[in-house]
Amino acid sequence: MFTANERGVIPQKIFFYAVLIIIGLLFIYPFIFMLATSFKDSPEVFANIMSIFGGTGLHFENYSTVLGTVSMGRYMLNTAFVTLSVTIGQIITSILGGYAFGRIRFPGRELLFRLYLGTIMIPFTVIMIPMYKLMLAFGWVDKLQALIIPWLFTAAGTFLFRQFFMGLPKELEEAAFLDGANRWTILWRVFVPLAGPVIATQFTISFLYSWNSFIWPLVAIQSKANYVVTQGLADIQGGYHASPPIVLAGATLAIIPTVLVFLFAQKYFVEGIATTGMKN
Amino acid sequence: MSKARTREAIEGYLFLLPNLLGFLIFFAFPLLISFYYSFTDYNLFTDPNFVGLDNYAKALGFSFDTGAYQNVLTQGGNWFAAMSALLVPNDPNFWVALGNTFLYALGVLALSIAPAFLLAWMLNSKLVGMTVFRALIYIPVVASIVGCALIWAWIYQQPSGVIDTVITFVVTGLNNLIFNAMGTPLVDPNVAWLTSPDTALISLIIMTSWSTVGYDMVVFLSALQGIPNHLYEAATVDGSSRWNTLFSIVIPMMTPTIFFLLVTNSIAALQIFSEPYILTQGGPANSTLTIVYYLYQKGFQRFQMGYGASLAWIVFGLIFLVTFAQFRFSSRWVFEE
Repeated sequence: MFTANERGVIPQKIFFYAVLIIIGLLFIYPFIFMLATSFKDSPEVFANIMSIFGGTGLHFENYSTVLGTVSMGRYMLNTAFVTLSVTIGQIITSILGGYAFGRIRFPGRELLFRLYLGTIMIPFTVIMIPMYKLMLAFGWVDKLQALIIPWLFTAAGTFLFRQFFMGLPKELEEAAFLDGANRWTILWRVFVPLAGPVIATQFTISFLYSWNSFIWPLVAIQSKANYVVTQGLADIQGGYHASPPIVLAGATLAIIPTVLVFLFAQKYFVEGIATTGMKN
Repeated sequence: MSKARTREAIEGYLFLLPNLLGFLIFFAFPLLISFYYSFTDYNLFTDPNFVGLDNYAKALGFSFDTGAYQNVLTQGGNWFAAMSALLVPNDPNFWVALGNTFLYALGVLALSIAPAFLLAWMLNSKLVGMTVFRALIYIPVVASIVGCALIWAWIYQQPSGVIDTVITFVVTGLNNLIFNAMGTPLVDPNVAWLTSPDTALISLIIMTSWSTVGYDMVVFLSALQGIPNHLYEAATVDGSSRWNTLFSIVIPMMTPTIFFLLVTNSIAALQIFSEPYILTQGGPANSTLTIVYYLYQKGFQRFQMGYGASLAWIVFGLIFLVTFAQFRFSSRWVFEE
């Protein structure tokens, strides 16, 4: 809206900032409300839902209830384990697959690659029912494997790394070949160290997707010991629906990790959007 | 093939192997099975029997009630009412879910793309603090949608939630200020956001849009930054105003981005599940039952997995059709350089 060094528009700029601050507050308000409520006790919430501070101090015990009695601590550990396994696994298989598609010639490469690309458009819901049946056959229903192993490969991630590896100059590996290195060494010693930004981008995409996933855990996991946070939240809402501080302390715990990753890696989130354009 | 080429090919397959195994076992295979299930009466407990197109006919088919049609007409009803009495869907809930899903998607498109563009245009200013606002507006995109739904449950709660409290505050204030003295006090509407069939769907649409705007805005921002500076400079030299530049240069250059967002946002919106699951369980009176939620009910709560699989393929068909239609009509309005 404003270009650099515009003069004589001070009143407009003040108005502009005022509008932006109001919009920004509207967007962030639900989180302010969440944090504020998570530190109150129930009577304070029902007395004045809008207040930021309840008046009887900060009720940290809401968090100990959620982490302990409600087992959110357990759910968070499960989710962290699943998310890290999936994220690291997806990065490794995408590096290997992207390298194969991008730098190695083999028969059927183009056809396979087109098949991969075609699958990006097919929603998970289409394969959800047979996937459940497959988990039954493997004995993985109600086990964390069901949330990890089927998710260790990603067509979009493979595509991302292929594009990156294809863009690197040929001389890189030719020099390494002359030094007697094989492809495995070249990939990990020459290519991967250059791929830092792509790895970071894929990390943000995989992390976000895995941490926030809901419908598949809901289908695949039944016992509370193996719940992930999103399931835990749905459960808290049922059990504590008369107690907003408990529910919202749970929501805070579920939301903070992805927001932190976002704040520390903003640049790569933007890159991820620009290159793949996927949220769900 | 030379020895080196053979070796290269073998290495290529080896590098691809982990990825390809995942693709075959956890994608291609379930995809084929899903297609097969959609033609069976599979229920998880007994072996599937082939039933031909029955599932698709159940979801998409109609029967005709000519008696009801005549009744409406003889009672003086109009043609439209008569036609809706004539067509009796085999599965009325499917059509309810389909209608809701389309309304949901349209609502989210309308409430996220245009505001996102305005925000991106504002935040593309060369002023201090723009990245802070960008981050604030983007946070709902990364926050767990299930967690966000729990927050909104208390924002929408009736009568003591955030919005109703604010409305009561404003109405009471206005009454004390003017309307009581005039003898016509305003009535507090006390809206049942999530518990009335009239407002539940729009309430969900608002929440989903809130969590989508940031994404659309960042996409617009990167497109805006791609507009070459000389275009702006030329416009300024020609004496074009801020608004003129917006409508004759910026918006036409944004049409490919708008197109991209229409496609991606519709694909996401046609698969909405978490919001109705957490906030309304598809109710009240099925007013927020979406197609994927319906699929979940049929497949995993009633174990009608054959029918569920056919619903999944119908969802895919819808996504395909919507995407195809958007591509088909894009040449009429998308500006290509």
